[in-house]
Amino acid sequence: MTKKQLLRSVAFLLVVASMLYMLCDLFEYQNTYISENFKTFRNLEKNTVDGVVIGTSGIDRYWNSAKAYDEYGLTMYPLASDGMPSWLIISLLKEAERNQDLKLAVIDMRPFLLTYKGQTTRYDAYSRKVIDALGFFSASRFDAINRTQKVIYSEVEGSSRYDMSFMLSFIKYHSKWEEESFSFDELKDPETEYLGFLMHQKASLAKMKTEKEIYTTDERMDLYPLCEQILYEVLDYVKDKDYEVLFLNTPHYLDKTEAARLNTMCDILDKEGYAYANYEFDTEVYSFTEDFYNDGHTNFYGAEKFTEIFGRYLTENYDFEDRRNDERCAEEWDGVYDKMKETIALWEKKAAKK
Amino acid sequence: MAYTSFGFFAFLAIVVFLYYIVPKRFQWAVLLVASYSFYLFSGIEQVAFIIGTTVVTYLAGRLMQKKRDAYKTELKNLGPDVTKEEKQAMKKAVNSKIKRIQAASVLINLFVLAMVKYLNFGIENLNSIFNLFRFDVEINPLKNIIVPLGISFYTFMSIGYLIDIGRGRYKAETHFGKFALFVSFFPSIVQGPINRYGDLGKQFSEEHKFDYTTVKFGAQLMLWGLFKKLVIADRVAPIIGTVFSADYEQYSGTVYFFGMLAYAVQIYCDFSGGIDIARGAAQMLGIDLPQNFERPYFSQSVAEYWRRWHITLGAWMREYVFYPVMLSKPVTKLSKFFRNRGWKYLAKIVPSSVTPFVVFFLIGIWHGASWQYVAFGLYNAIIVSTSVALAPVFKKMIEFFKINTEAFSWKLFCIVRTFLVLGVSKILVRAPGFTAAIHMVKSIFTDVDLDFIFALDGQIYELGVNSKNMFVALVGVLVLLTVSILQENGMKVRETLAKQNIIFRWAIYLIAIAVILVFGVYGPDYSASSFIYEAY
Repeated sequence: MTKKQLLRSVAFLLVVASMLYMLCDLFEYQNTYISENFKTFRNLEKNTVDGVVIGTSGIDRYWNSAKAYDEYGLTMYPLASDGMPSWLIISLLKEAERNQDLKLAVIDMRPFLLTYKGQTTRYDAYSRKVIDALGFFSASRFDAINRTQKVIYSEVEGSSRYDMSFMLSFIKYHSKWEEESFSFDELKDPETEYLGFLMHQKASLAKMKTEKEIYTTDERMDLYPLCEQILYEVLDYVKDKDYEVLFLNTPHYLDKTEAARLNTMCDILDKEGYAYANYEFDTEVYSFTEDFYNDGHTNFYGAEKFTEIFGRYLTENYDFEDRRNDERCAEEWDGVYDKMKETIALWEKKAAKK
Repeated sequence: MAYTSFGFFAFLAIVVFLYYIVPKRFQWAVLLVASYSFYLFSGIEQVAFIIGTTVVTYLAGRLMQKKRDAYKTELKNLGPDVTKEEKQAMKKAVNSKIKRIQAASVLINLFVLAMVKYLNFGIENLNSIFNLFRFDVEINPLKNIIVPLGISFYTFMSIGYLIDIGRGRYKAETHFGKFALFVSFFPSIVQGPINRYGDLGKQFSEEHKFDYTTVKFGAQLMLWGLFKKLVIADRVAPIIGTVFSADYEQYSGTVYFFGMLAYAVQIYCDFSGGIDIARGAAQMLGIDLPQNFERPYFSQSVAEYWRRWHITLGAWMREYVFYPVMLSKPVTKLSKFFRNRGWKYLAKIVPSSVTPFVVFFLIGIWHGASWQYVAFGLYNAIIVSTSVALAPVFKKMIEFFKINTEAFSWKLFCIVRTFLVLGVSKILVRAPGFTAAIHMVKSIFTDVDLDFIFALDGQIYELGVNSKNMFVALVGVLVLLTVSILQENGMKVRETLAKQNIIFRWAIYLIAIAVILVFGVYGPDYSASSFIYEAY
């Protein structure tokens, strides 16, 4: 091989790589709020975050981090995504530890109450949302890929296999064009995030039409074995960490199984000596027809209430400094809550006109 | 490991790298390790079969060679004093020994093939016979039989080798490693081509220096194969799955015809695409594998089609079945019988009309253990034999109607006629059973659905492929057709492209890569390993 041929080959491979990058960018869900959320977190100034709230849509629709900063001086970032499976919690803790000296890690209890069996497709998608949102070469992404491969294919589906598309998501998304309704604009999600808190023009303002009766029980039911195993893995992972850990159940409707499993989980946490904040649906505080857009998620107004309550709990029970005096936080955190309120006011105005 | 998987590309890149950096005398060893590593991906239990075939074939080859060499040495030692009769007697004796070894080793190979591929088919048929004669006997088919990857291909290659050694066409390979490599060479193990030792074996003893152009051409051939397989074959695959499903009765004859067209496209692009990938991968290693396709759908007769489709199987059958049967005693006697009675025409055409039945029966059963494949073979045999038998009649008709056989219109007619005749055989193998196949062929002529033809009722998009997929497949077929016409007219596409300016060339390569990446069918929920011919 001559020098010229070598140079040409290298140049050609570089052009192919650039083209691949462009194609990946074109076809991937880079613009979803989850990617934006995680990107914002990665770009935060080093060691300016008090802690993270890791979990599902039971976190990013509830915990308004900008409001908590505005009112309590807290910088608790919601590192969450809808349907986030329990097996990714450790990966997200690793992601959070990369640039931040955490004081507290709040972990959503919802993913531990589920039954994953037979739901490979659904949780494959939920896992991919997280994996795609993590830094491409980050250790936490590799960790998330390994856990997903292991769990989805060996535990949930019952057979093990390696799926390259977790690593190179273009393999999965390149066929998006096949869908009848596809257009490149549709890849852009209408949802937006504000410091990890999800805002959606419809959902943020929407309210349930009727109240729903809350189911409570003292009964216990075993956690789904995979969830129990992962819970112990999480507890094992955090036991030697310098930060504190708090498990959190945000208020929502629980069915019979979930309610009984929640009790079991609280028992396990009591036994293992871990703190938890179990915010069951309090009808004195919340109303489905005012504060929830469906029985599992608060709207903007419900989130306001929850953030106020949980923010107060955090300031009263943990020793956080007031970050409003920290100049390093100003650029990212100052004024976000005001901007958010402006957006809500605008949407309310638009909705009223309709 | 599928040829279309990212794993295979990474594997190939490592093999190519190692192949060219190791001392040239060890290149075969790199390929042997690579071939067995590749094979191990399909399961460790399958390796036992290929090793068994390799050992039996190698030893039999060596033994035959030993007998022949001993005979030659003895002859030499005897010097000029030996009489012609003695020579002939010695030759006869050694040939007899060689034939016995050859027959035994061929039978062992065929026995293994029959056990794994045809045993259950045999049991099913025996049970049917028992049932027919009301015997209260039923043999249970064997469950979980392993059909080793590429067994039909490497068994045929081994048998070809044994016959060639028996005929003294070339000397038996003395190097076990190189022989094992001939049997297991990873680019051709999955779906051929069926290599001849005389062509492939010697290449493993040659030194291969890195040649930029050869490697580049190999990569381009692989790219073309990927285009055919991923963009066309797998794109139209759902149509075939839908039309030839158990619910076939709901469709009109026009839909069956459309399904037949789609299947013709799919099987050609799937098989020839896979072969291009195999040949391209081998070429990157400086190894030339024989061509297996020569634009078969441009054939003007069924006989020509079989010279252009799966060329190496056709050549194998010609060499090891057709001619031996043609020249066999029963067929020669038959020919003699007619000649003695003055029936010259029959004496001439009967052998060449009878032999195709044997050949095509074997081709049919080679493709799969089912009566549908047998019917497929016999159908082709009938067409070929009839055309041979009636050739003088056709010739006279052409002369009578003053048809210009050199005219484009005539050639086009012949191409379309051949394609349609072969279409029936495709329905035979792909339909869900005989009854379905007959129903489909009959419906094509009796149940024409004009709305479907002009896509008026949108049914065309309800066959598992939406309008976007259909469009991509159509454009893909047009690209394939254009390239095929250029090749048919003598253009060597890669060589022609290599002469173009770099910007144009690179643009073509990049477009090809982008098209495969975006429009190829691969990724989760796609079974990349499913090459149709892999199952044969």
